[in-house]
Amino acid sequence: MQERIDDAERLARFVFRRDHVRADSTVKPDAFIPHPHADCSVTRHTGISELGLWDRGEAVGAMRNLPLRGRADVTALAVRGAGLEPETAPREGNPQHANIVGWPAGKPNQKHQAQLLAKAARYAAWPVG
Amino acid sequence: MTTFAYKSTPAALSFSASREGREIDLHRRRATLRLRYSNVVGHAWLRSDLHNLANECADAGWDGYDAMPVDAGAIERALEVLDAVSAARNGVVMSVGAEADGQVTIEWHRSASWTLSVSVSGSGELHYSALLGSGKAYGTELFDASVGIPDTLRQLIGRVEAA
Repeated sequence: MQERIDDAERLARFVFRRDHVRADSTVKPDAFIPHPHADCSVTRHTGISELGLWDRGEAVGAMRNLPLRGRADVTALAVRGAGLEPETAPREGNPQHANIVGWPAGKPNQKHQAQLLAKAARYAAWPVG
Repeated sequence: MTTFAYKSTPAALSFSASREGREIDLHRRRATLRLRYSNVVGHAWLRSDLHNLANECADAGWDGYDAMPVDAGAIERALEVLDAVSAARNGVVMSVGAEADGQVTIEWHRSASWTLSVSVSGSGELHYSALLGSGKAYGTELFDASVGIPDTLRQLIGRVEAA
């Protein structure tokens, strides 16, 4: 049986585009659109240090040769509040990997869910970049 | 004390050796940002941002995950949409962006609870989602440059501006 992610746990969506964050450091829904997959990839904060979390983000960016800009943190409670569900999905190199699943069909519906996630998210800029 | 304050363009770093010079530089950067986001110059910054998106998001994976390249047709349609809308009013900030499916976004943002995001496809579909205080609205409209912005979106823009 899959482990249930606790409501209070924070999930990080790594950000590699400046235009996914507004000038006031709030997150735009563009950062959460799940295409082309049926889910949205995130990394759990639990079981990893702040530095380790940033290392995971850098590793993701390194695969695409993209500089890490920051991360959008959202709680599992907020994900469920948006009508979605966080599911554990550990990967080689990232045991804390998870997916946000349950996205509705149709672009407008997905945008709405992404807006709810973005509204609940807190942006942390990559301190080195 | 001698003050060194080099002239600088908004995009360039300026170097000022004195406290007064650094304050001038900071004031200049803030004024530039206010101008940029005031839309006074008729979406010039947004058009520039769209052209930058076309270049920076031309390859798959531009978002660090599995994004599709931004659709060139979506860029063209988004430029037409900008031609059809007025500068945002009452403190609403407009911005553009790209989504993982290759579509381009135009956003009217007042606050976390009053915001409208429109995704523009290459075929002219406008997929929108708005948070309107305690309300919401989302759907799809078709854009025809010869007709202008669909009434539904014009009204939503107005609601965000009036909030």
